[in-house]
Amino acid sequence: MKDFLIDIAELLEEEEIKEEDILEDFEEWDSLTILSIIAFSNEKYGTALSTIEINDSKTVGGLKKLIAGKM
Amino acid sequence: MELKVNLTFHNKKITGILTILPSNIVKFEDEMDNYNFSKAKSLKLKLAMGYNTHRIAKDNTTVSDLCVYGLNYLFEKDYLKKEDIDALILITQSPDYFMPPTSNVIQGKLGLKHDMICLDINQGCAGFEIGLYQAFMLLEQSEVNKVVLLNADILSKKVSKRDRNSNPLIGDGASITIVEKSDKPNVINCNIKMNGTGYDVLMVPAGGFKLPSSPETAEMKEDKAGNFRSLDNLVMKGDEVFNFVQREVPPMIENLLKSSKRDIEEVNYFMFHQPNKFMLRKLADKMKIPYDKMPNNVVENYGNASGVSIPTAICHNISEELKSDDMFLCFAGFGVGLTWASILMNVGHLDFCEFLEY
Amino acid sequence: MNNTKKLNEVRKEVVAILQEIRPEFDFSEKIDFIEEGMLDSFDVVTLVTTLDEKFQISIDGMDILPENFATIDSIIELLLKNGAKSESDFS
Repeated sequence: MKDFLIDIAELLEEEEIKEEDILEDFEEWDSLTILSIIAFSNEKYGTALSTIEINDSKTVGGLKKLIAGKM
Repeated sequence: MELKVNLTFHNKKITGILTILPSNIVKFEDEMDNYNFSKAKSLKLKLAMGYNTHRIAKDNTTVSDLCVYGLNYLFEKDYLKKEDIDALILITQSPDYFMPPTSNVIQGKLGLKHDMICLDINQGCAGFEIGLYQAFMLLEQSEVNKVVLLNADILSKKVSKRDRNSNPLIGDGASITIVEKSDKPNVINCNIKMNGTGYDVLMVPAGGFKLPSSPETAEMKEDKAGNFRSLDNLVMKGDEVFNFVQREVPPMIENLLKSSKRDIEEVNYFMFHQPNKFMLRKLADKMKIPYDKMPNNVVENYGNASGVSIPTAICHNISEELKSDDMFLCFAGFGVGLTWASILMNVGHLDFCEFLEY
Repeated sequence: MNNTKKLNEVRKEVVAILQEIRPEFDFSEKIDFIEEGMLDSFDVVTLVTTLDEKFQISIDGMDILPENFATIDSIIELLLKNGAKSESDFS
């Protein structure tokens, strides 16, 4: 999952993000962002995610684990 | 807006359900070439809509054949005695004749007693509910103790084989539901609604007296979507039916529950009419009912045989439970008319609940 | 809607899904899919089923109207309306 932080940072419109960052603290965190993460995860990793799962993962690291677990 | 529960009954029960299926099984794959679906599209739709196999009656089979066969089976097994039948209600839109009533024909073929009521009712998708409330009303009479409700249709004969809107889903069949008095209170609540401005949403345009059948009405014509059908064939405005169901059914059930002072959680199963899988899943999602409480598997196994679809869903999904236990069920039918109807009642300890192959 | 990276990500996915349903049409163009006959009611059923699966949502039956499937943006509106909710949407 290389480039994961870069890809997610792009979707969040952030320069740089870290695994400890809390998802809902990002300025751009809204339903469209969640949708784009779902779309991105579908396309790049072939995994289906739900909004609830994404919200429950709480942090960038949690999101990474979530996707990795479904691969 | 409060919907009135317009019918309430007490001391009535269902004691047995038999579903008669034509043994002729037709597979969706074998008919696929009749429609203009691409192969890729067909597979996705197969899963979404529930196309798979359906039961189609042979050409010389009529509704009275299916019903007589089923009733004779019940007589042989001693589940039912001829002389006990006080009323025969037949719900069908594919009768043997315009006249006489097909229920009379069945009564004659079986040699039933003369002191009885025979009644044909022209209803379809909501036919099980309409038939049930008729049975309950008759049972209010002291002389009427046992009513045989027949739902039966062979509408595949009216559907064009080149109509991909309807042909993959249609099925033929019949069901026999025995309804009797009960000494337990057994409150039953029903809600019936009609909207005849939607008469053309699901119809067979020709063959009645408005537009008698002729060589012209038999001509196959192509519609905008590439389906071929004649005026003698069933035509359905799929989008309108879908929206009608989404709009009308959830509030009807909600109000039926409220007026009956029952909670949605108390319902063991929602045995709904089975038009197609997609529609039922969306309905379940909207009403927040889990799929295992609202079965949607009839079309893929047997096809949609109109008013027979609920008895079919019962026999396929919960026959054992209904024989051994008591369940609180919600029935709902919606479609042709437009008609939509629902019933909340306890059903259980059935004497029989099974399929019979014709 | 503007053309942020995240919007384009979602657009890409939706176009890909549409192309799979009707490979003979080009859904990246800005036209009315329903009026141009690119999507019929069965395609809409397939599309809704696929979107429900891929985005783990359940598009409300009442939203299944032709006008909601006419363009990519209207489809994305549907997804937003029916699915993805962030905590901040409620504050």
